Amino acid sequence: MSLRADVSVSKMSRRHRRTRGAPSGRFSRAVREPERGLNRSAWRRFRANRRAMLGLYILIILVLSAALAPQLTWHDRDLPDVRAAEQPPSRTHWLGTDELGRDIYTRLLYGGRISLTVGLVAVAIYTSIGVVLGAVAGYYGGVVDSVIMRITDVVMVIPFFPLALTMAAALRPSVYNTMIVIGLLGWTGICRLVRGEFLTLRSREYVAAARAIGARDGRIIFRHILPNALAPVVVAATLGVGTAILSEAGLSFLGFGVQQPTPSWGNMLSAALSLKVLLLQPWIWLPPGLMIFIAVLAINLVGDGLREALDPRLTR
Amino acid sequence: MAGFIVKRLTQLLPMLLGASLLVFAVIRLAPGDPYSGLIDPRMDPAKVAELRQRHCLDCPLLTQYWHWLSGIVRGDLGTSIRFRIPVSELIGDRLGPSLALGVTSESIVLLAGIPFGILAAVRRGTWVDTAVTAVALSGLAIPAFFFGLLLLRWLSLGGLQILPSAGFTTPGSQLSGVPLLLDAARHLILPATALGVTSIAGLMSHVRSALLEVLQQDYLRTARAKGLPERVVLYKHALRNALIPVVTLLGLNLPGLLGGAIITESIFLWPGIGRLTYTALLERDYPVLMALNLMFAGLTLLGSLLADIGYAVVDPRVRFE
Repeated sequence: MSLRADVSVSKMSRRHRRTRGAPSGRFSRAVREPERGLNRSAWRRFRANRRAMLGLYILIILVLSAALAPQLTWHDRDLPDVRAAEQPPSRTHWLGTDELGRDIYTRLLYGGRISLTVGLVAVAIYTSIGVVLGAVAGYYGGVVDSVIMRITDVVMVIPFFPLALTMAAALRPSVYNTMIVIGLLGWTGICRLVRGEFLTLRSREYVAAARAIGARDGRIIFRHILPNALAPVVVAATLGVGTAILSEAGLSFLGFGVQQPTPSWGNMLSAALSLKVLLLQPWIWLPPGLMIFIAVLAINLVGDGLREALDPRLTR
Repeated sequence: MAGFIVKRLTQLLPMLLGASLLVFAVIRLAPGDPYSGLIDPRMDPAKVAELRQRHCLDCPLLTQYWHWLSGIVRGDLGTSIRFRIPVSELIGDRLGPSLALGVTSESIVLLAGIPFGILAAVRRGTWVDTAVTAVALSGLAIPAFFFGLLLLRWLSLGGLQILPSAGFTTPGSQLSGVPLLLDAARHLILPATALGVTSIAGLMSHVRSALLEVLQQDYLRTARAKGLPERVVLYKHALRNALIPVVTLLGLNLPGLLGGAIITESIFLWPGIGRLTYTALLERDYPVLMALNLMFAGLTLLGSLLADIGYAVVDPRVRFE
């Protein structure tokens, strides 16, 4: 607004009235859209990240195709039909049939259900365990922290895959046991992460304030500190789903995960252990392998995008 | 430095102990006993009783654990149910090929990962960078065994057919000396590459981001201002600092190698520890599995110790802390 003395007051007021409606300067976005928490700006950053959005779209398509599997195909999932065995892709069987005559496309869709579900549930299990243990260790410190950290170290020392296989062999392999095995062995990363966050956050003023007004420890942990510690956990959990899918694929491929006739992308791949299938029938094993690849790729893109969007260093 | 190593070794022991407890607990989740597979129901009862006595199958759990542990300390890792020979002998035979595979795989990872990571950082923003990043992202998403199957199908059994598909050496051939080494090398290429695909991808991204960070440092501006050719700036100053984390990565890669090797060795019929693990799993050969898992734990600890030592060797700042 000009400060010229020669312009009449009425002209200045008119100019003022015209511009008063919407602030339009360089910083006025802060005025126009007050940020309601970290999530708004984070979501905007995420949407601007093209790779992350691509991953998200792919993921949505995958989840929808898994959820809507019965609508997307009319073949039977498990019923063998040996007359139609080992056929290449055709008009009735879009991806061909396997050695028992089951439609590959159908099994791919239902297998996606299994693989994605196992990934999600396993991560849900180990995130819960990891968050609780990490929060307790980080908040209380001292002996509790040492004990929990020793346990974490012991579980981390044995490489995941051999131990998971051993555990799956000891228990009877099944879909549920696969979720349990991955869930019981995968919590260590999240535990350490949460513990680190809690060690930093427990000395903040709001914690002291909450304690001063008499809040119990549990309430402080879950209502005050945890929401602020969640950002890296969300990223780790997202990326963890991809790793869990790969782990389930590995377990099922070797026969210690999802058991036939239930399809999973991993156990569909195990058909390729036969020379005939490997060389002559690529439609049986290429689709599940590609699906695993696409799913994990999409998840990684989304996870990386989340990491960049939630990075506290970037808050303006 | 020696004190540092000794201190770390003493921390190692309780972790191994804890790991042994975990392994024992996991195995005991199975119905029956680890050694009940040795007991043939048609054997005469005196023999059965003697076997049960020898392997402590009727002792309380803690005693069984102690029995197993004291055996390990004495060097007795148990007897394989499937093969009927001492586990230590079984593992010893397979260790060599796995070692060869691991070393080759790590070499391939270094040779492929570092140059492309450097290339991507130096040519940041160009198509080279985009291509390398795309390859890295793909490498992290593809299941290692699927990649192995692809290699097998298109480079070995079908397709180009230029590389052998199984085993360490060509069966029946009586080579020795240099031709033997060449034959072994040909057999090593595919499994080692399949084993390393995830690590290559990870290394490429790590090197790229580390180098990008280092390239912005002030001491490089000084070097360029001094008039040093870009090549010298890169190799003598930037890389030395950017590659420090690589040493740690190498050591920490060791457990990943062990896990990935199980499937890779099974696909390529490699006569190593991974394939032994798979056979033991199929046959529920619990004594072998217990010993193997404990060994893997030990190797992980060794890997992290080597990573720490390597880090101290390469980064003088750590040494003088």
